[in-house]
Amino acid sequence: MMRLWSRLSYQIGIIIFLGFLCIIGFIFLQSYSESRKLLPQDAERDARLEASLIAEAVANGVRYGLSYQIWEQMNAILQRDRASETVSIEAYAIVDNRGALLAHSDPERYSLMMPYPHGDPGVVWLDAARFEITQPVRHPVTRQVVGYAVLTCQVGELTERLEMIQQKMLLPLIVALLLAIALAIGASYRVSRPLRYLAALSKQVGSGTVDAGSFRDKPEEIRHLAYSIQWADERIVNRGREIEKLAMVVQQSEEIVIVTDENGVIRYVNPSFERITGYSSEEAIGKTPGMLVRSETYSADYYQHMWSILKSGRPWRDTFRNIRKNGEEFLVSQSISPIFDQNGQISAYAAVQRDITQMRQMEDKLLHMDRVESLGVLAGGIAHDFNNLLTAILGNASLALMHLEERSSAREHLEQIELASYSAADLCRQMLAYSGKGKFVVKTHDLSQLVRDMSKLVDVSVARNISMQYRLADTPPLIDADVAQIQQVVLNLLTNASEAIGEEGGTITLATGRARLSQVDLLECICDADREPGDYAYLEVSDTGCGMDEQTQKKIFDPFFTTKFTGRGLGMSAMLGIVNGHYGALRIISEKGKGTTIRVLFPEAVGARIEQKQESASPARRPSCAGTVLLVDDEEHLRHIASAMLNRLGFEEILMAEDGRQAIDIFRKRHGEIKLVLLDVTMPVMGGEACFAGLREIDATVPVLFSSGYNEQEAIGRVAARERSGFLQKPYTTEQLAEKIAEVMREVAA
Amino acid sequence: MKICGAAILMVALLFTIEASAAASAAGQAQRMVLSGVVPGQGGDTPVLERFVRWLAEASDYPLEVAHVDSYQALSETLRTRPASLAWTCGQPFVEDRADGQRLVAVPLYKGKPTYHSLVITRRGRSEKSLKDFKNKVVAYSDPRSNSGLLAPKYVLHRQGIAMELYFRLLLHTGRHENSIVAVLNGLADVANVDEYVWDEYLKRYPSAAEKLVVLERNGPYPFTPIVAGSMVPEPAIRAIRQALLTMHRDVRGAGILRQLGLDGFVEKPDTFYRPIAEMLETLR
Repeated sequence: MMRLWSRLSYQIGIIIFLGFLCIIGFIFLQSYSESRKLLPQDAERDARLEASLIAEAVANGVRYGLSYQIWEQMNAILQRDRASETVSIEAYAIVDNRGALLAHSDPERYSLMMPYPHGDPGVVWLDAARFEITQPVRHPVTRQVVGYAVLTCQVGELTERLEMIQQKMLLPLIVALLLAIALAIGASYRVSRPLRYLAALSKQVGSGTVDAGSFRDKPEEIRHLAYSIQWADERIVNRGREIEKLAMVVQQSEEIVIVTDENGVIRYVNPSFERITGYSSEEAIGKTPGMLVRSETYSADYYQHMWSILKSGRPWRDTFRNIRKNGEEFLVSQSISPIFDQNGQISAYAAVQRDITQMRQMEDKLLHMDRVESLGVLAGGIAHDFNNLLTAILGNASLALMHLEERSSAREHLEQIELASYSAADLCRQMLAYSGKGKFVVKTHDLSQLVRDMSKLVDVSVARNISMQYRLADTPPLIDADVAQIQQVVLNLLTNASEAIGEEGGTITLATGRARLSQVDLLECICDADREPGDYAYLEVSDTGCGMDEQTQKKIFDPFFTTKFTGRGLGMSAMLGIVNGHYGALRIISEKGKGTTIRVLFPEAVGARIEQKQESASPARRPSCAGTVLLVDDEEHLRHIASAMLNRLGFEEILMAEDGRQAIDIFRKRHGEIKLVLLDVTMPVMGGEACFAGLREIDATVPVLFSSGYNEQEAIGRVAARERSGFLQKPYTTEQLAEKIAEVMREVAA
Repeated sequence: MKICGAAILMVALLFTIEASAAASAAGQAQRMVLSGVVPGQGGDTPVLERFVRWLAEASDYPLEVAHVDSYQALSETLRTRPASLAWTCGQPFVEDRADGQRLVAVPLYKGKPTYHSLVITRRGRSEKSLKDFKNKVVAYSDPRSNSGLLAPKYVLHRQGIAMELYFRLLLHTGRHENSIVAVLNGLADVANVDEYVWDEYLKRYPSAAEKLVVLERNGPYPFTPIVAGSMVPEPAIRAIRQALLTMHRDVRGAGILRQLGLDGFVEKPDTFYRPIAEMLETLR
């Protein structure tokens, strides 16, 4: 029944049926009620009529006291017919005018001529179905009352009457009921059929295929409903797409997304959570994040405060150090937001976490690199100034030596000054190397060959108790590099390895090769942040020495850090400078007591060819130094010493300028006489680079020899059209000056 | 006049016989007046029809049946139509002799021209005789019935009881069988009926014997006679009497007699009804 009632069509059918039934029932009840109301009146009327007839019939009998005749008469009357359809005479009593009984329907109980009390003429109801009527019996002629007929009448049973009414109404009732059923079924069908269509249509909701066009000729409500379903389908499909997009965003997000219920129990985690933490979704759901990934970084008070903030409806953002399933720590930047339901109550929490472990490592690295860079700039500046000073010292010393006799006692002192100056210059070179600005001559080299060429040097660099092993790649690992600096790197590494092994002896392995570095590989390396993944050639030095702890590894590139008693602490930092200067990277694998492996990686030179080493077939010829030279330098003492050297070399006239502008002015006036320009690079007002351009505008053929405390690359790397020009690294001696002048002159002559 | 048996309804047969046989043969039929001669003879008893028809044929005196509802009416008919015949009761015959009525014949019941008056009541009652029914309802057939009223009145009179005052109601029922019905239905407590009617009633309704009981049997009294009105010619009377007296020898007549429960007819002098006249005299 409930199942039937649950269907609208049945409901409508039943309602119509019941409605019709109610109407029929109302009519029926009205009729019944009317009949019930009229029944007593009809009965009384019929009974009165019957009583009057009886009174007339027995009048003579009463008059003459003919009891038997009355009784016989009454029997005949009662047997012949009843008063009416509704009334029957149940009992009678005929009395004379003295109240004596003349006849009774129950003669055994009521004896004749016994006093028989009766009421006044009229009707008295004894109960719902019986009444007593007292009818005077009158003389046929005089109309005097000679007696009374007392009739007890039984009204036909109400149910009988109703049955009679029901019988009368049965046919119309059946017809009406059939009509009601037909109407109900019709209405039900009328409702259910479109509803079935609508149900079929609604099953397609969400597929995007709902078409309400076929409902065009349907009733308005059904049509509207169909179009509503179509509209809902479109909206659901659109919403579905949006939700799908959002779900994809969450699913594919690199960030961890966690959704918990209001108690902090995980209800959803995205794949990033699984990937980063190592916990599967099934493992995570039902637990709290604290049970899975919480470290002991923060105290209980911290989390208590965090939850109080969250429960107040505010978000919480902070960095957390969490623990993966495998026990590793990882760092996340986390934002936890309460999710509110429609009533404004917190129903869930959503946490978005970003794994910042690598980023933080990168930041730390960059911070370190910045520090190293800063020191590099400082070191470079110092080296530049030192070189200028050393140029003066070395120049003056060499000039002084030229002027001194061979046996002069001062010569030894001057030679010591020269040696000390060279040592100082060497130190400056290392400082420049550390700063990554010490790259001088970049050419393509086979790294393996480069190592082979150093074998002798290597052998003398390591202690005798150390066994050297080479694993050099057969396929040439080509790099663009300054040979001297690479050699410095090799020697530096070998020295450190040798010292790490110490007196106990061990093995040093020197290997070369090629490797393809990914971004991840680069993260494990020490290098500038702008290194690109790709093919690298490497040089690797492994020792079986004492190894380094983590603390030491972090500091070995800091300038002036050393573990050696005699070291200056610039070896590794200078090496890092060289590596960075070559756009390379370093990787250290070391453990205390288990040796160290340092791999130096340089970008592989692609499509380059190895320049053949030019043999200096003949010693440098002294150039023909005569004429006028334009000497440009902002340092007065350098102008002075350089002027002396140039004079010494044979130049008659030395024109001097303090800066580029002054030099151009002089050159414009006398460029026809000037055979050479010795040009400092770093100057106030106008630097060497701009000055060079100005000189070339005036005379494109004049030889120019740059000079700088910085290296060539740093000093004039950006200068275009450098034909008929050379570079002289400060400090320099007269000989070195002469050689460079000769080179430039040769080039001009060529 | 002869008083008929207690249980038999009063039947009066009035023969009106024309003065001459020719005249009667050529004229209209006279009446044979009846008033409850035989039980159930309310006018629809074929045996009486057959009896009258047989008698008319046998006596050559044209007759037709005329039912009346009382002996008074019967007497009135014979007065107004003196050529008629009647089957009447002893008391009316005795009382109406002054009108010129002549006794034709007397029926034989159980071989005798007499019958009894019976006192009946319902079985199980405590009363033993009529006088025990003081202040009760007593049914009787006709005020001029010998067995219904005169005989019990006389019996009680002899016991010093005035019947009219002794009972609460003397219920006039019109016929003896009505009196039986009145007792059966409780309408009357006791009734005085003709013995002949009682016997005939029980033949027809045997179950009544289980409900009713005869308390007293008074009599014998002269049976209900067939009389002729004052204008019935003597020859006709003789012819009729002759027919009745020989009726039991006639095939049809004998059959009718069996149906009537009678044995035949005898001729009796008027004095045969003297006992009734004496009772009337006594009570007067």
